[in-house]
Amino acid sequence: MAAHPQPDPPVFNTFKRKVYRPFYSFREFQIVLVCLAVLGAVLAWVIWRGRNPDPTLFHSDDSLLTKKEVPIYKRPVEPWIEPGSAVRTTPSLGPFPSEIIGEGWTASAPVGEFDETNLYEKIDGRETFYKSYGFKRLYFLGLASGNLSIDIELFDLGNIGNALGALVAEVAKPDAEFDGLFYSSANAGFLVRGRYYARFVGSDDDPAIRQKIRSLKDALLSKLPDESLPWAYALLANGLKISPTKIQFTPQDAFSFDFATEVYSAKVKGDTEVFVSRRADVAAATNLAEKLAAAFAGFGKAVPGADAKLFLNEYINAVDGVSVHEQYVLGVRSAADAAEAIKWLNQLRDILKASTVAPGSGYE
Amino acid sequence: MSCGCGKSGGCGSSGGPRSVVAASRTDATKRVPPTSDSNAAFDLLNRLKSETGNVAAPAPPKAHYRASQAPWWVRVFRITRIRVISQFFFFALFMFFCFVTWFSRMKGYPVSLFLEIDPLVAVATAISTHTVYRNLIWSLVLIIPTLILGRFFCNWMCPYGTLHQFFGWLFNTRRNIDKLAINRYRSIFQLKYIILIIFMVLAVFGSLQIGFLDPICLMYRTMTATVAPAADLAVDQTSRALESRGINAGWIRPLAHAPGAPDQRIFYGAWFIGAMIIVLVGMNLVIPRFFCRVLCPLGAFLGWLSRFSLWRIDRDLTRCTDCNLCLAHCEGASDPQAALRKSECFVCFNCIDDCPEDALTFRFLPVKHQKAAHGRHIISKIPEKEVAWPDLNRRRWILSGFAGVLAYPFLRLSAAVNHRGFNRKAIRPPGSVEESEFLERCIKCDQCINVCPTNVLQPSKLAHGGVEGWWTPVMDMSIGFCQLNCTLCSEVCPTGAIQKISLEKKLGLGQFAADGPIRLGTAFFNHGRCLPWAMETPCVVCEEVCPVSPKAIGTYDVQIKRWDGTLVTLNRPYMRPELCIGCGICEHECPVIDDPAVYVTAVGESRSKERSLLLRSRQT
Amino acid sequence: MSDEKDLKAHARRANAHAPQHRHSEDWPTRREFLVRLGVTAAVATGAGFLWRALHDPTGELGKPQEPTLHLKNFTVAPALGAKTLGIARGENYPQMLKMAIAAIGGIEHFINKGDVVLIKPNVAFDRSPKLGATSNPEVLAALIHLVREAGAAEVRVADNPIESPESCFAKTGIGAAARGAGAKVYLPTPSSFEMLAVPGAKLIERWPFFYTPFRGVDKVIGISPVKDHNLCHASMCTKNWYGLLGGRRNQFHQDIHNIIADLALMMKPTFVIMDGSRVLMKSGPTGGDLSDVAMGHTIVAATDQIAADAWGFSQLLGRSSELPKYLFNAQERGLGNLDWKNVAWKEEQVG
Repeated sequence: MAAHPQPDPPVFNTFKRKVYRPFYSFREFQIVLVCLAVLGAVLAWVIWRGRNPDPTLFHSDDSLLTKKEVPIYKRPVEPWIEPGSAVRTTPSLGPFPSEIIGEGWTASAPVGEFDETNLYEKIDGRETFYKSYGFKRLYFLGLASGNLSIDIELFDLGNIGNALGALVAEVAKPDAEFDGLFYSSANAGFLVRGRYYARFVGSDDDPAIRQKIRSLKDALLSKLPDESLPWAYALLANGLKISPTKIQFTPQDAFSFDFATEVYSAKVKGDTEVFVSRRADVAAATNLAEKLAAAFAGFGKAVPGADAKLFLNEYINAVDGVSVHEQYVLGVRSAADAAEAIKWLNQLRDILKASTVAPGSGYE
Repeated sequence: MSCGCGKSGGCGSSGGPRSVVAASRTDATKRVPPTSDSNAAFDLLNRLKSETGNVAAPAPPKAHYRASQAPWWVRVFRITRIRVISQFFFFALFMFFCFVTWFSRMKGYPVSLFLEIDPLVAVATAISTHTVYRNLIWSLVLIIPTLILGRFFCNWMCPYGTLHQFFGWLFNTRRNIDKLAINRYRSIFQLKYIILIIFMVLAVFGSLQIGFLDPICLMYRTMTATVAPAADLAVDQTSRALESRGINAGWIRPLAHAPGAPDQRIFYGAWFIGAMIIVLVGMNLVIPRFFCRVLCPLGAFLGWLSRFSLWRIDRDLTRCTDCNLCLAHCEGASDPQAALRKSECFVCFNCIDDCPEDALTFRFLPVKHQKAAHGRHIISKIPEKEVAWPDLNRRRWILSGFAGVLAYPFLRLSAAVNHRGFNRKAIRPPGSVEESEFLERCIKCDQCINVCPTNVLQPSKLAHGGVEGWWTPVMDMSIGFCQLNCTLCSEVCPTGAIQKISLEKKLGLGQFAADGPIRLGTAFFNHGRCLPWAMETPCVVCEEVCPVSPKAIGTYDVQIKRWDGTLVTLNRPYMRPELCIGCGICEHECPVIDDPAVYVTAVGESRSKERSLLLRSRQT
Repeated sequence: MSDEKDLKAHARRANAHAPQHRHSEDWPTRREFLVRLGVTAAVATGAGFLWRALHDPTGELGKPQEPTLHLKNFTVAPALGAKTLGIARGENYPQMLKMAIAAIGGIEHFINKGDVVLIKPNVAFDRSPKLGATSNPEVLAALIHLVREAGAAEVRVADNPIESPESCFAKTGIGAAARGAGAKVYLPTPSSFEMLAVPGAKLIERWPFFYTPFRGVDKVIGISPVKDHNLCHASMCTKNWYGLLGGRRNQFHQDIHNIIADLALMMKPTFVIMDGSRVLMKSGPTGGDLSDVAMGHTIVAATDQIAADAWGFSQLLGRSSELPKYLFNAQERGLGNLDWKNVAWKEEQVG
């Protein structure tokens, strides 16, 4: 047999460490203890460091929160316009939402914009009406679908009070049926949304037109910003349960008196009409009430009424009255008799006192 | 068979070494053991007494014990034992620091401590930047003791040294005669000084390259890029296997390095960093402590400092029988059997344990030339006792210096580290100093990369910054993103390449409002790959995740009719460049994952004027 | 082989007649011959059997077989007279939470003794809870206390955030609040996700799902903030389940409305809490500035997440425009009722 092969060396070191030194010293042992103490000190220091972290690394620091209002311009949605349609590109739809065009309809021209300097170009003759309701801007868009067309006029009247006033004044039918702040008849539609008052006028009384008018209404309702109603609506609509569309807002020349501005009025029963107006302070309100009283006195004679001034209109045999509560002027016209006039005036005052319309309430 | 025993493991225990050295013994066994002379380490007092000839002074009681009579606690708690304990301690501490370098564990631990006490880091950055950053002042706790005791760090504290020593020991199955041979000094050990000189000359020019081979940097980098993610992988796969069998694996999960990372952490070039550790550790089987003896620039630096040390291992020529047994476990290959190479000695004290003649001691201010004393004759045939300076002749160190001088332009003229040729993906972490200053400071330790909770920080590839910037941190937004409210990388950076920044500074708030937020770069859109721009498909994940307020990504909303006739509204994203901070979460979340349709590049980074983009960045 | 036998074989070989070209010593013994032949035959046969067992003619068998899991329906039959929406307004969140849940049947109705309950907050981003981008930790802690008082054996809190999970849980205060209230927090790891089957889903019929915390769960409660969202307009109760998905969820934005409807199909929670203590009005879903946040002072409990979302959209985000399309999609698929005015609801003021 051949010689034994080299045995496989072990994988790992299996030798035992053997110390050959002949002497040990006590001093060496002391140094070992010192080394151990140093290691212990290092360990203690590391543990101490670990227990004292920098809190800003691992927790949110609320003192760093900012509150900066940075205005960001948001480009409006660019709507799809079928290539080959009349208007390839609409530079801007103005306040109109993109849904306003919709399937099957095309804009016949870019949105036209008019301000008070050139409003007459669009609405000749009635411009004073809109200007009296705080006219700011008119956006005009013509839509066409086959033979049918719809003109959309969107008036920016500054606030919802003006817009409602214009709507109610323009519809001007005491028995008109409103759907919220929308009114439609045959081929026309009228809508108030926020500070906007919109008129849709179709070319024909056609089902397609009516349907389009309803979808226009939905589009504007969902996309235009809403506003809360002015204070007077809290008083009249909430307090006396009068539909907002029955409340007439007259910005100027109410009852044909040139001093009577910003008057809200509504028919309450038969011909009886209540009205309210707000002034900056009590003195201004008293001043207005006195002027009204003087004007009412011109039609007849004074009749007694608690703290209100009542006058019998001798031409129509009805009672007009006016009183003041804080900066509010409260009034009634064409009441059947003094008792009814007083009743309405008291009711208005009670509602006011209940302070449902105190400044800052939801209706500001 | 020289040792005459075929069985494994028999050599050490069967008295083999004794037989090896027996032939060279003279009258040593008959010699009278010393009484008051310094036969043990550190005994300065006794040594002074013996120098003054006060031989007869009686030894203090219990000062010395004969090996056979020494009580167990003196034998157990000898200096080499505490050295091993210290090595375990510092190795464990190092591993602990690596383990806690993570959001939920870091607390206040000084996780970069080993780098902060590393004198090479402190000295090299002091040379390149003329300052000592923040905690680098701690390096004094190593520099001063090294000047007194020598290169003790290498064998008492250095975790990388411990790793090499451990593997060298574990696989050391050499026969005794080979043990002596393998621990002899070789001229290749000069290489580390050449490396050190080249690195130092580069540092003078402002190019800090010590991190390639500094053992602490190397080990942190290895832990970061290979060991820690490997541990995650192992823990995750094991616990998944257990849990799918209904076994509770709650106990194993905390062993992962990065708990709460929803994706396995990955790193550029991990294979190479892994290969380096395998090769370097494997080399211990060829030459024990190959790295420490041949390559380590920190060791070279400490060796150079050791030249001045007050203590060293001293060989008593009247006792030394030239048996060479002290070489058997010599860690530094420092020739303790002849003229001790002070710069190579790791102060491991193994030679003292191994000397059967009691000839070796650790002495304060030992003499170079010994005369026969106390009635004893010099018996060693090697008269020299000390080689103080590193073994590198003037010619070699001058040539090494020239090599460093030449290396600088070769490195710096690489386009990648130049403002005109920089890589657009070389995006530095927040708080980083301007690039040329960055290269003066970054030691490639990759601590920032380890602590990064999103894995966005990566050891850069050669393409990002050439060799000079290799392994320095860059951000890859495909892998992660820079989390808005996170400044961890700036906390762990030991050298201020990433300056310690507060969140206030990062976000440009409060006193930093005038500077604006720190911008890492700028995001761009590639319309050709963006779904809403090029593919009629809704998307805008980028806008959704943009973390700044107001958002740096806006949308142009258009309605289009798709190829199939359906109307869709597309939110087509665009950049608001003044608001973009380059955090890259948009790029990370972009569904076009291979070449994202929105991507960050380094241009516009706020740390550099040269790489800025906008004439004026609005401070919002 | 023992030495004795070896010798015998040797002797046999020596005595045998040698063939022409080979020495007789070169031939194996019969025994050796049979053993070697047998070993070769056994290995060959073994290889044949092994290969037959592993044979995959089409290549399909070799593909990874992912087990597919299903989520159970966590809903509880409604209590008598319970509302679908319970709305509480005020500033005392624990009290409001109690009132809101009382309106939909009371916590004891939903949680049985010994239940393992998973609560899913929205922890998507690592920012202060005051920025409204994440669930309010106070409300979450109050919910955990309620659930534990109702007898739950274990409460778990889990989410897969967009930013790094640990930091999200820490900086939103949700991690501390949950642990402080006695719940266990689950963070996602690469292996926490399992393939979930959602039969009938349009887009996520099979999708990786953060499944680990769901093992052994009896009840699931969602608690979501109310946030603006550019693409889907609002992120509330239904969108909250997005945080349980893994995989390539950045694709969802290509059909966000169907995905959210799918989420409502995927997750049938015991009930949901809409945390309207803060409302992120704009710059959502990340926020980042206090000016984006409004104090909502509201907590809603609901057994119908679609109704809750519809309520939150109009009442908390204050949007008057049309409801997000995903609510219609969900309603069409019978997953809820978006017309909240016509479900039973109760609103109360607390304090």
